[in-house]
Amino acid sequence: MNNLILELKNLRFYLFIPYITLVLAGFVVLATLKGSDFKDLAACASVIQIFVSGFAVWWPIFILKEYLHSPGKELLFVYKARKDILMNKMLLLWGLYALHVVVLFFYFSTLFKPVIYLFIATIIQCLFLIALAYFLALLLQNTFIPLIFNFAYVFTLSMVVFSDLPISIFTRGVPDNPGILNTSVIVLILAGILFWAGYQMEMRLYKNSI
Amino acid sequence: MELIKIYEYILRVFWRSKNLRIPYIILLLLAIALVILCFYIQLQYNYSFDTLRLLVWPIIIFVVFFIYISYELTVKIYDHNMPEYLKTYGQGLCKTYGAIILCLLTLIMIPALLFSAFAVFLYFFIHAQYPPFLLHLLKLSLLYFVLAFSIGGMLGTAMAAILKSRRLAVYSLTLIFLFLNTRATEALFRTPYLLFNSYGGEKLLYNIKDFFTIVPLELGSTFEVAPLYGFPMEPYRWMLAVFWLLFPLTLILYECIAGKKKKMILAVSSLLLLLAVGLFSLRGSTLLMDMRTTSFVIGDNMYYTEMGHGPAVLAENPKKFAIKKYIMDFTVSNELHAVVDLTVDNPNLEKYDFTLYHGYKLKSISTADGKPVPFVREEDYLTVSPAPDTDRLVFRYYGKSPKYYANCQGITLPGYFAYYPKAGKHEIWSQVNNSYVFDLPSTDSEYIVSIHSNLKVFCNLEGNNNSFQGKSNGLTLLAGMYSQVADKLYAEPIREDAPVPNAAMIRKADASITEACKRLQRSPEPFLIGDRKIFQVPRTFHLNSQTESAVVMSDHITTDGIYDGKNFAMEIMQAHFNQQREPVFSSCYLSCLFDSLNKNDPLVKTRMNHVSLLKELDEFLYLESQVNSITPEKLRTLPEPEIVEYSKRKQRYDEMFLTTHLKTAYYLFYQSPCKEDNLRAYFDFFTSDSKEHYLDLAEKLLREEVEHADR
Repeated sequence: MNNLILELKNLRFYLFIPYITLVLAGFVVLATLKGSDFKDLAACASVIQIFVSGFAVWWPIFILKEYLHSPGKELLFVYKARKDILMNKMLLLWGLYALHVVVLFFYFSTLFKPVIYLFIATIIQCLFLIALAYFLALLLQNTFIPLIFNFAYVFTLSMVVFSDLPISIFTRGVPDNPGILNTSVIVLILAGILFWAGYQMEMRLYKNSI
Repeated sequence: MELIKIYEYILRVFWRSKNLRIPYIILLLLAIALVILCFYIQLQYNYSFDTLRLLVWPIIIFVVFFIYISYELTVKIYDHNMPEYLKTYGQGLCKTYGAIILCLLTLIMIPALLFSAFAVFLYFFIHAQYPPFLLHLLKLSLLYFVLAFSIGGMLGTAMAAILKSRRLAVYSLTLIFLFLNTRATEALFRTPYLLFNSYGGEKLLYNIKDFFTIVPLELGSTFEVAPLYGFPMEPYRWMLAVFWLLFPLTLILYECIAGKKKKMILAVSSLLLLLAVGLFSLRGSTLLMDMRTTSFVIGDNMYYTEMGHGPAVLAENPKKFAIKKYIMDFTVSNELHAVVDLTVDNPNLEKYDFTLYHGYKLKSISTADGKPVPFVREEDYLTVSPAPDTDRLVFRYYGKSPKYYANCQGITLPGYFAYYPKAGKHEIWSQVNNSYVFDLPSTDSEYIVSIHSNLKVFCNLEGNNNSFQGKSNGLTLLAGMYSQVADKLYAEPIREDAPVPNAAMIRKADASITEACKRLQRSPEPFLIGDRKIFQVPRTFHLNSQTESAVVMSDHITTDGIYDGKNFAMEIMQAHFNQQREPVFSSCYLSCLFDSLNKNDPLVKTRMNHVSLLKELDEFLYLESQVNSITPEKLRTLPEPEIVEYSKRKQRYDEMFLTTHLKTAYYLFYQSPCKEDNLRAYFDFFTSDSKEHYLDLAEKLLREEVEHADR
């Protein structure tokens, strides 16, 4: 955990980008509600999915960058203990991001109710996107492609075809019923599979690094 | 070393790098899959503009991918500390960059040519036989594929040259670039005016976005492409594309070149930036199909309704003068530039009121001999005070409208729109209907028009070579991918949602009108199309207005699409109705009159009881009076219990709105034993100047029927 905090601190200005987007998401949701006389909850749900879920991968990708692109990347693997595996870091970062999302949803709960279903759907989407970024980064030994892929996926599927395609993890409609969690279980299972596959690659990478 | 040799080495480096080769091969496979998908969609729906839109949608992702390829390929020089070594050779670094750019161009050309070939193939596949469309597709290929991909390559190379291995910065800039080229910005950019009432903030954000927009049809755009205009490719977009190619090139050169030339490159780079910003600010009339407050879609609605520019209720406006003659000189470049010389029929007035859309900025008003004339402008209205006995006034103005655009790519200026000064004060936008208002002069004026444009302009008056002359009560100008398709019929040749209009359709429409009038025992003469010219305008016109299905002027008609003769006849008839406040009711009326009701509709099939219908109508009218009596300002001052009561009434009113209209219309005009009398009564009402509420007449007719049944 201490290492992770140091790695996050090392991001300097870039550490704060998710904070900026979360604050912006708060403003955008408020504006969307105000623009629709506090009626258009479906639009709020899509804004939250673009801004909150989309930026979940920011910290994980930028932490992974040090392990995959920095000049001393081998050293980072050499000094790694088993508890320091990257997958744990990814899960910790997801937990940290989810904590921030909880705060944001507390604020959303003052604007519209209920928020719990949308919150659950959102944090599961965040977990999936982090798992996907982790898997792609280790598969391709590169962090640029997972970043592009993540945002291309979020922008395309949340705006162009939304949930009409089976490959979409996003939900459409008013977030006031448990129906929006229909796809969440599958997304959660997929996230687990991606983490497992990523972990297998990480173990190989760890061995090769030594 | 020879450039060609370095180019070969760089290609080898690319091919040996798994990080680059595998994603590139995947990208090519995706490009092929996209083309196959587009072909499948074309076979399914047979609508080439939608197919092309699907092809263009993900282009920005390809551009971002080329940023990745070019960055990763170039940054290898810095990851392996090569620059100093390369600089020891004669222009070694420059040649290496040149070879990298050549290599990137090679890689870019494969998907770009694939997409371009598909676009051209589509032209032949649909048997378009309209060369301007082929030219449009070639331009599309160049701007949206070749140039856009090359820009991606140049940006990635420039970022590697300037930012080197600072990946965090490169990632962030790439993401900002991707974000600005999608519709994800829409919700964010609305925030300044929705929360802080800052329309300027929104405008600034969109200006920044537009400057960075490489693919004009953005990812997430849901609006259809108008076949008259095609994909946005105005001159400023080409200028921006060239800028985004040259500006990164200057940054790369700055990195390669040493000594005094560095300063020169910096100066060129700054000059380019200044020039691009300057030209960008002069972009003029452009087609903006998004949800910004100045867009085609909501621009006028926002201006008149939300931003508080709506005119005060116009006082009775007795017609004091008419315009006898217009001599117009239009130049359509980045926007409309006009010199309009008009002659009024009554030179003895102290003041003359005119209507000219607020988007047109007046430079001057003068007499025929050049003496300036004082005037006062208030939004759309002009009050001119010339010296006595002045019958000719010359207006000089320029500007644009978000909806009725005029630029180098297309012109849609219908005769009912105030893009030139019209006599009297007329409402342009109705806040009640959320639609445009057409208040056409009752008398014809004489027009002498000359238009300077790179496009062939089609006009309701006679003439050629963009010079026209004749008499009418409105001047319509259309240009772009537009043509005369039959005698007196003008339309977009590549519009696939409707058949190309033909004379048989018009004959069928006239026959339907005659038949309907015979049923009504009224003369069909005023409603017949006769020898009027017909201009089909883009279907997108109905996006923000329900009144433009058909507009009838003295010598021509504009319509947003002729689907079949009967439908067109109904639209023509509706255009003659004065009471257009509620399109649902009048559409139902026309469906009954023209016998085109859907007989399987459950509401049509259900036998209605006129007593309960009358009760329902009474309740609806009561609710309407209650809801309309409370303005938004008054609502804010009401105590909480009254607001709750108002909300309940409003909800009930909204629930009843559609069904009450449909049930009333279906009963009165289809099920009632007095339906023929009802049809006649409403026909006289719709074609009169009566200010009575259209449902009051329904209530009266129903009450009479109830009383008659009681007796």
